[in-house]
Amino acid sequence: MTNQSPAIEVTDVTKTYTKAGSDVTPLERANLVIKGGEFVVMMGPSGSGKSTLLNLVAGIDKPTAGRVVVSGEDITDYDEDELAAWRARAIGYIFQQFNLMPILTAYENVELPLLLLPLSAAQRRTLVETALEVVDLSDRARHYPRQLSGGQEQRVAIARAIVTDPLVILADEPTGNLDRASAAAVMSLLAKLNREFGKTVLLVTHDPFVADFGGRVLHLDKGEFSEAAV
Amino acid sequence: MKLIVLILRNLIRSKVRSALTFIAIAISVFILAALLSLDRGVQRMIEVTGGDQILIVFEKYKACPPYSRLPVHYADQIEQLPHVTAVMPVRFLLSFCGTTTDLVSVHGVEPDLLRSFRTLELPEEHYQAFASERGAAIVGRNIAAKYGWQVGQQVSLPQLKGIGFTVRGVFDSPGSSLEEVVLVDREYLETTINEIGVTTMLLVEVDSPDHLDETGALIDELTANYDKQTKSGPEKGFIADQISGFKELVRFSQLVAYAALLMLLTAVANSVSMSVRERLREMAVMKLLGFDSRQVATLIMIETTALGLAAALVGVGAAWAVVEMGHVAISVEGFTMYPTLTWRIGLRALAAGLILTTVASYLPALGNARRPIIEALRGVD
Repeated sequence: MTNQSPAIEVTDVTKTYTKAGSDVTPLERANLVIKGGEFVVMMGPSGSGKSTLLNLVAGIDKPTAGRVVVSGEDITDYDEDELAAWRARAIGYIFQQFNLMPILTAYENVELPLLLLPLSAAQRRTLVETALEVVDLSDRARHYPRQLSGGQEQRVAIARAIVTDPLVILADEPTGNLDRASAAAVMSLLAKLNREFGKTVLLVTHDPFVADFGGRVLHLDKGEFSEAAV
Repeated sequence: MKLIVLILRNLIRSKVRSALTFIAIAISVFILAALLSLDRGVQRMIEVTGGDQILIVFEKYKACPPYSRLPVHYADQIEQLPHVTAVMPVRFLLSFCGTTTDLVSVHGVEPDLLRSFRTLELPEEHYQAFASERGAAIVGRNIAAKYGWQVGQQVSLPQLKGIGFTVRGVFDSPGSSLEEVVLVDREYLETTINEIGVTTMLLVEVDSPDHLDETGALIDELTANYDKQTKSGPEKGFIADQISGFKELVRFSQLVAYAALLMLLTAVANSVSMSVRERLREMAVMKLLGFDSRQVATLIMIETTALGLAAALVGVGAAWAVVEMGHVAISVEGFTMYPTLTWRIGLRALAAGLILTTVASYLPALGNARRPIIEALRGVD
């Protein structure tokens, strides 16, 4: 279920940073277009620039040159506050290490991004309950992260990423800390979000098993993309 | 308000650190409030104890005025001076001259003149019983409470030359030095201690505050060639002079308390800094979810300020309990001072605690909240 308008456009993006006194350029004049509703898996060796690209698309890093457009907004020149507000409404981010707040329950973790939006308590409750239902964790709503398995924690993180109904979901090695069964459950869930809810997914992984869930697989090496058949 | 759960849970997640910070702030605020209450107590004592039209006359060159010795007959000569409306010799008998919290002080006074000079609240029949009975005493509310004395009780004070008296009344004189004092008939006191005709001081009432200095100068001039020379001055100013050393000490203590607060500022800042560093990743995640740096920093500052407010309230409450409910009295150079914790002092100490914690949390909160998300997610320190 794709539409022709691009959800993510990376144009002539270069990223250079200084490490131990020398310049490192993981991305040089990189170009990428992901259409709305696509499920793209990005693979590549360490240092290939895939995490750098994900960070640029998430607006948590700035390109040295080039432009980044996500969900129709050119975020290249946004300042910190504009980026924060944009992230709240435009993207959902899923980490390898789940990164749930340990002092909040599953319900409260999912509710967290909604606290930034002008919603009533009843509206928030409806959205949180729906998100937990989508990830099939309604019965774990009052559990704290320490009371959940790794797979359940990641599903809570996915619920948190989708609760604001963003167009784009970014996932950085979301199965990296999971066993095979849990990884399959998480990937099935992401595929479902893409298929049934039309979410655009950009996922970074090393794992070929995970790549099988994507509709399009890109290999990135030294800033160069090559497309693999699925 | 939506984030109150997050703030409260963050406060209790590191219980020991929060508790130690809380205790440190509470103790500092307690000390500050208690020391500020000394200042107010001194002012109040001067206001309440000293009359506006009263001169106080002591023996010249006595470092500790309660040890002054003047002939009682000076009173007759002073009464003849212009503008003088009444003179009352007062004989002190006290256990210690200096700064103490356990002073027993007996004043020999003239019952028929006393109320011209001092405002006492007690039933008239009790006063009359005191005035008409040799060996009777009226006692201040605080000293009566301290020693459990009741009306009708016979008391003997071995530490004060064995003087004994019958309590005929318990009086109130709010804020005044007298609430820690036993008042007996002067002649009875002189007889008991076998020092007849010798008094400690003379209280002189003049017809107008404008004549205080002039009359004081006349009195000192009158006794200039006598064996016992006098030093006279307005009672309020005299009390202020006498306890000036104590006031200096109080001011110095307050400076130390403020310095301690500044030191605490660094400790609180360190505590906040440690707490924030442990949560760098969580803060980065919040920013990734859409919180901006200012919102994240505000959350941390609210956390610390809430802790500081609670601790400061406890500190002020404890100071109030000790100072006001504990009826603390400090005797200074023969005058009794009651530390007084007014609501203004309470607010001042509370504000000091609150400002301290807010300032202490500002830089660590802002500095860490502004840290780039990538850096914080990597746990770079």
